[in-house]
Amino acid sequence: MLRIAKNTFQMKKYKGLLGLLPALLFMVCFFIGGTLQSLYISFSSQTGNPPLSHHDSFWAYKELANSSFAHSLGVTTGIALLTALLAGMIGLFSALFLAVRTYRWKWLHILLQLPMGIPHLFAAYILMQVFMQSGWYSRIAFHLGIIDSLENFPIIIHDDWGVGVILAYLWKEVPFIVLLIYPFILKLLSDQKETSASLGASLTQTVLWVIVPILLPIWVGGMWVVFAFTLGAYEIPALLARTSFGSVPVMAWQEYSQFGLDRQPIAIAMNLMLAVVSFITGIILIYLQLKWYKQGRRVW
Amino acid sequence: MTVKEVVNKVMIKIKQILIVVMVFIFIISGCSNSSLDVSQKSNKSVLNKDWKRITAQASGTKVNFFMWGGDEGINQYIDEWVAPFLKKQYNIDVKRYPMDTKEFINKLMAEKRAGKKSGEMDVLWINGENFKTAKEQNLLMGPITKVLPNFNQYVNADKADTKYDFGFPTDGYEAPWGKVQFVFAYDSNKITQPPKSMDELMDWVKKNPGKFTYPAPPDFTGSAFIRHVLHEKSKNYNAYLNKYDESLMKNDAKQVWAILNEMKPYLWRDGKSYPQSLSQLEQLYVNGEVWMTMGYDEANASNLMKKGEFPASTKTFVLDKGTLSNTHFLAIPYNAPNPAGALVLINFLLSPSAQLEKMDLKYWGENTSLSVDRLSEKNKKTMDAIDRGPATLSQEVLANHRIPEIGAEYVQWLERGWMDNVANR
Repeated sequence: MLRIAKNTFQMKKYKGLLGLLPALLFMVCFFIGGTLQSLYISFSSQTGNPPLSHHDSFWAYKELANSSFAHSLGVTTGIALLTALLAGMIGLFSALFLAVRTYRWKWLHILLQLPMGIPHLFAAYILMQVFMQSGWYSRIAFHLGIIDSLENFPIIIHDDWGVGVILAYLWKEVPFIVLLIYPFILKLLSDQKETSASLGASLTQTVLWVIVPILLPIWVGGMWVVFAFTLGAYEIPALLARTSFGSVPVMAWQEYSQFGLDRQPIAIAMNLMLAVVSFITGIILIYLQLKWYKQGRRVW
Repeated sequence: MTVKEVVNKVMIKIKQILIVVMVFIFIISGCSNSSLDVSQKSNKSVLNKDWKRITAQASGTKVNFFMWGGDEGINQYIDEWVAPFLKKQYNIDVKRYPMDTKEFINKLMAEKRAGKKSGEMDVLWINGENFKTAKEQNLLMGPITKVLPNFNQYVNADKADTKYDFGFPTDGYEAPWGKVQFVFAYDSNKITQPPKSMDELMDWVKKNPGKFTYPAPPDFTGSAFIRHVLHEKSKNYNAYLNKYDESLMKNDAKQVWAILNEMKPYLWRDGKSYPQSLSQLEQLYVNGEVWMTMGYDEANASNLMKKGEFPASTKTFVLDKGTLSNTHFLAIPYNAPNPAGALVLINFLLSPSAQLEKMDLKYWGENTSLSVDRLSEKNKKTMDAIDRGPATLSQEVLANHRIPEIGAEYVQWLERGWMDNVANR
């Protein structure tokens, strides 16, 4: 019985490929084409015609070979990593909570999914308005007499450690993780709960030893999507990070739009470096996933 | 062969492969340039016609005006006042396309690369480095000002602010549309005596920690603020108006960084972070977090007071040694589909009636690019009667405290340097 189910599933998989063809063509044309074009621009020794400047082919990358860019790349990767891990953890707990305790309260689910529909730019703006030192919460705290001046409100926006940035991302990405894993958790719970219970496992044990291991590839995949997105996103760090935070997308945008056309290859090279980071992370994760599957574990 | 030669050879090979692959991808994705229109004659010939023929040719056509669209007042001025007038007077439809300057220059560059002879933009609102790029890349039609009757009659073509645009010669490729000047704004309820120089500003900032800041360059306004430091501290500011010389900048920059770093611990948020944009600084000012703001527009504070955003006690000031001012221009791209209509629109925008309407706070409140002494007595009287708002300084004070802008290379050098030498310290 199980074998038949598996075979039909595989047939469906190949049939699906045909349906995927338009998307695949789109991907080849635009994604691969765009990547190659970016590579070409980042290695171009001149921009404009007549040329604005002359350099050798590696100049854009040579310009990036300094400690300040390395620091920026580290900070950007670190923030993305932290956001992905936190969003993954909080998302998992929220999804479990929703599945176990409140699967009947639809309104709570809708409320939790609401941030998904809000653009990142707007999310950053809202957060700024409420958490600024002269923002809503600060004013409320002031009027309630909790703080004696607006300056005493904790610095959350444009702070030293990127707290505001991470908060904004979490508010957006936790619902994404929940949306991704909630249906699986719901199904796994209904499938496995009785078996585990009959074997004498508590709910915590079921979750920890049964559900999480089965869910791992999807959950980690979701975190990787968050990581890759956060790595290259511009709006939130542009609005909420302090000036010298060093977010690479913000720096790349400045190079691209502010410092003259002849520096555009540098902007493209910065973005390619980010692409390399997310690509390498993706490869490592795929390798781990394959290893995982080899051990005979899978979701269904 | 040395290592370098080998590397270069490999690079060339990689580039060739990349080009082949890219061409292949362009072909399969249908991006090839089949719409190339080579039959169209150069539109430059319009510049040799007399004005009557140009207006006749323009009648019944449509003009596409590409301009920055971030200000409601400016947009209304074009849509509600200029467009209906031009329709009535010349039977021309004006269509405004809001787009960032950088963006339409990039678009134009792409069109040029693709060999597109007929584009979609007729008039561009442009200045500074964007004009420099456009002119150097041959993206503009040519010297247009000499055919414009209103330019010849009302604009003093020999003045530096018409001849040069951020230190780059205009050669008539663009016609001056307006002038703006940098001013500081302050809340007179909180500050009685505004500073008159950078040194006085420094004293004030030290005495009132946390109450001053400036937008982080490369923001346009923040970048202009640090140029004022350069202007006051440079021994020979006029040298910046000539050809780019990095050593000149490097010598003065040390002092500029020293002053900005000295100010830093007393700024808003202890200088650990700066507002990212002018609107963010203005919000801090409105919220009372800082007591001073600034802007590259002498009427901006009055405008915001009228809208009820700035407190009514807001006033503006200039430094004794002057504040930066610049001119912004109108140009026609090389591939304008309707150059005759474009010329008529630009000429109209340079007419005294259009310029005086623009000066009124009702729409825009911006200074004229025309020479006041060339205006008729009647126009002069109208101009004197225009209320530019309670916080706007008098024409005289502004005119006596004007300093010219420096070249785009210097501006960019300072913006990049600020990040490394001030923000990241």
